[in-house]
Amino acid sequence: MDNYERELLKGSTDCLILSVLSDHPTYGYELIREIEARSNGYFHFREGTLYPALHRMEKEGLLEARWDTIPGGQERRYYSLTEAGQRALKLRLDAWSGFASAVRAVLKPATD
Amino acid sequence: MYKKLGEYVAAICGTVRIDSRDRSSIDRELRSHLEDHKSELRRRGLDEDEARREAIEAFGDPHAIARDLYIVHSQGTWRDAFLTSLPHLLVAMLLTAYFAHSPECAIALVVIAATGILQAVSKRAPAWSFSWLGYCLIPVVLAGIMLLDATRWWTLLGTAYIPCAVLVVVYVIKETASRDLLYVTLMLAPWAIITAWTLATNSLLDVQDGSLDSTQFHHHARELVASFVVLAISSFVFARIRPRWGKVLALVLPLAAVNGYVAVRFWSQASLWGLVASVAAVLLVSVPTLWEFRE
Repeated sequence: MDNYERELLKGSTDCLILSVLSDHPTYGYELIREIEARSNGYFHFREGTLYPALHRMEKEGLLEARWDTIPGGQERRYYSLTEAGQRALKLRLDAWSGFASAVRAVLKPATD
Repeated sequence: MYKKLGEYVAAICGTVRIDSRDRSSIDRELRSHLEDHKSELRRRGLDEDEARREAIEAFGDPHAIARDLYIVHSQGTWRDAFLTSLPHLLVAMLLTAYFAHSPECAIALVVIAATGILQAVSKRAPAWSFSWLGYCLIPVVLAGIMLLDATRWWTLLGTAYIPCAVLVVVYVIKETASRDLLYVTLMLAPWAIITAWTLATNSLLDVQDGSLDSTQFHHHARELVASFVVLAISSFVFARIRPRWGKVLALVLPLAAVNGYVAVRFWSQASLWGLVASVAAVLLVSVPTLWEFRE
């Protein structure tokens, strides 16, 4: 992933996280794997960068977290969307789709 | 290279100077993530060492992660910021009440002391409690100064009391430093201002004799009160600002400005030792904060 793609990813991280969590609550490791799987491996995070983003969104009230223990005894911290998170996701998706169609409209003649 | 996942997680969490409960939660969460990744790599056929190495590599630079986590968690809420600045505001109010000959000053003093002491003895001191803690040391130190000027019997008591008082002060500073060096400066900031004002308006001999002249304080009541208001504002900013360098500036600059102002204002009437002590107070209080930028 080059610098330009990295910058694009940086600006979209929150939206990707909120979008996956809108489907079901999950924990950090599974969240990363799911984003990778849904993007066919395109989005490949430095895994440690996910947690500052998750904690920031939790502090902003977009996410809430709870600890759970799986049958093997391992503890996991599950994140889910709050109502404020759902509203933020909707706003970001609207903004993103407007932005994406505008970029497509501008770039299309050049790529034809 | 880290021989255990725990060492790598400790390298992250050990440098995130935040509330111990938050840090412990981060420790568990990161450990769980790395264990998950390592297990998956083991299932794919990697041996223990390779799996551990790859899981750590995928996680990234521990110092960068620690820095980002600190930025997220170091910002206090508006409530935290208000509570951090509150003791200084109360002192400003207390001084105002005193100069206006109001009995409310005694009530305010009791509130300040009681709240601070309660926080000081609480097991899990929140970040804002450190700005209260500095005022709790005032009775400890004042009692020592008073004993210095007492009768022979009291002087004997003083020889027993003063080492104990020093031990209490050193213990409190050491415990605070173990949490975060910046909190030592936050805690001791009022002391730099008290030192500057006391020595600018009184000679060292007066301080030793315990015969402080309050006339100068009355003459400069507004400036004295303003000093604590400045401290309240700087503590508020300290609690809210995210980057660590911002917190350092929020603590040190207003303190230097207040003591600089006092030094310039009393340049002609303060003794040389008074001015030196005032500068030394700012430097001493700032040392813990500036210490971490030594490298």
